[in-house]
Amino acid sequence: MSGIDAFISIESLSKHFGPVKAVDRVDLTIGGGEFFSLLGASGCGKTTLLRMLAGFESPTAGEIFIDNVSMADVAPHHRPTNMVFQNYAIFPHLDVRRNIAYGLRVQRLSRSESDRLVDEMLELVKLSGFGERRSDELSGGQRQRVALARALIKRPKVLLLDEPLGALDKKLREEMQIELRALQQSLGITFIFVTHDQEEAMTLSDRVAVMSRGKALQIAAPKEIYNHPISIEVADFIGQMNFIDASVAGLEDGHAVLDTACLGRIEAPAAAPFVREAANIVVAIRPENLTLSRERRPDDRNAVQGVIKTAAYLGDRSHFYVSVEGREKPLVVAAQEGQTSLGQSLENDTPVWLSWPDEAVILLEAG
Amino acid sequence: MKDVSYITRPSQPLRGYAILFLAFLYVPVLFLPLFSFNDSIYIAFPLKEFTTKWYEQMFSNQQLHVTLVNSLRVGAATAVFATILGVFGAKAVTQYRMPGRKPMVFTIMLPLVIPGIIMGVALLILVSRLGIPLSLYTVTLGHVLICVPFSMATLIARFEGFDRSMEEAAADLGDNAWWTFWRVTFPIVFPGILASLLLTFTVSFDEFIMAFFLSSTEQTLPVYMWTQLRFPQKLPGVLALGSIILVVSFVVVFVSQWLRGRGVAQIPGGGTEP
Repeated sequence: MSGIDAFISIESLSKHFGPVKAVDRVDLTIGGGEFFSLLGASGCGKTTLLRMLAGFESPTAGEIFIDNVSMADVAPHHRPTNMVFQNYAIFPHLDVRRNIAYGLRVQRLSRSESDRLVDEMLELVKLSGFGERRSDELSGGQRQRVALARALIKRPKVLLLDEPLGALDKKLREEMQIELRALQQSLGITFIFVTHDQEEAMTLSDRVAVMSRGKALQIAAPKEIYNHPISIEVADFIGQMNFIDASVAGLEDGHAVLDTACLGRIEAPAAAPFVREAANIVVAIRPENLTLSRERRPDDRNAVQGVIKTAAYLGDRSHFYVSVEGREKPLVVAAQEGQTSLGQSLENDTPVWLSWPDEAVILLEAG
Repeated sequence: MKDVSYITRPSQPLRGYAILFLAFLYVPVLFLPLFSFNDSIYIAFPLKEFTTKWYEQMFSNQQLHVTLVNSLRVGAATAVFATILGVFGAKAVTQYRMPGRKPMVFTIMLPLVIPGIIMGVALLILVSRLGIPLSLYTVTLGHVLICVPFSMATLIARFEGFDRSMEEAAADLGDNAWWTFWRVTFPIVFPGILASLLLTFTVSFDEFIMAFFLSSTEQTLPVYMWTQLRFPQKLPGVLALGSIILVVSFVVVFVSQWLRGRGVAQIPGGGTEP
């Protein structure tokens, strides 16, 4: 991505464990002060990549530069990075204060100076008054804060976070997300955040790298990834998606005409090189970009008729599974509560119309 | 007892079995203290008067004092060396991926099942071939050999519950390998180290066969006790000594097992959410 000065640059980085390519030739640049997420299912290589940044794993090939310094021969204890571990790794034999002060040993500070820094950190992570507690007297959220304070007291250039919110319950996790984001913005430290939770990655990050089988599939801002996924895999991983097989019937200045079995002939903006005359491709439409109505609305350019098979009520929105002719799997339609006059009065087997704007159609290369 | 599940429900036959099992283990041993208070040099029923004279006799025995000190010295040295080897061995086999890990553990544990007499004779041959004179040092050498498996077994259990990310966190916070070991690894495995020290000390203190083969004129306590058994009138005194060793050994092993168990309960991640 242009406009980002490469504070961290990862060049063709690989890590093999025997025959397994945990990380496979990943190229990345991360800007100073950026909140960057590595997103992927377990086993995709995101944690291995993070551990190579921290220095716990050495790369099989490739290089890491932090602030223009190669990390190849730099031991973990000399790197300008600090890590928040997935299980927090709070030292069980030390109290909260001593845990947080742990990294100050190398700086040889006076007692009062180090006490002051620890107090500052306790306040920053909202744990004032908890300094004398032992790790087994803390809740999951509190441990997470101790781990954060312990890493931040070193004033790292880069903070590495390995699924730090994974063990927390949903409500606490959402609170911590907001706090983390605020903390990162006020400190201006580069955060590299590993998560398998796509919603979390979307909420927090400036940019996200979607990883799978050791490769970075797409590296972009959350909005870009959501609205313009570059492959079926990315589109499938981020949010829900309807995939429809299509063939290209015609092309004219940035616009493609496509034939589909269930939606008929449709149009979509097209720029990618794989969209060639007569090529078989895949069309993707987000559930919330499909609109439901009882009657065909006169100003809808694109519309198709279907029958509601099932409805799932999700509180703020509902998902309708609509079967259309020419397709076995029903299409998923998301409707915000209150935004549709149809509401819940839609029973199964109700005939409905589905419509969508041209811009909502995403074209993807067939897998 | 309505609230017990099918599995935890008490079973009469099993309870009986447990009592029988414990009796089989400990009733013979209990004859030692019993006869050590019996006013007769013959170990036979019926019991005669109650007496503590065997204990008095024992405490005034100079030779016994000397051999006791010998045993304490050998035991202490053995405990320290075996535990140091055990710490490094246990750390290596639990924390590092390396080829031949399982055969290595097997080889280290083997002295547990090799008959003491074979180990003793083998070491005696080796030591005499090398021209090393027999002394308490050779006894200590033999004891370290048989104590390392005990130390390893105790410490492997401790290291297996040890979370590797603790050491990574220490390294991440600026500590090199040396500081990481002393500031994190050592304090966390400390209960295991203590348990190993106590256990290996007890094993060495009670050991006879190796000490018999590898000692010269300086005897350890068990070897001295054995020599005394040739004199019938000394037998009750040996029983008195045996009783004391029994009690002390029991306490030491009990403490070491308690330490080991306490250590496990404290391992991080097992904490409760308030």
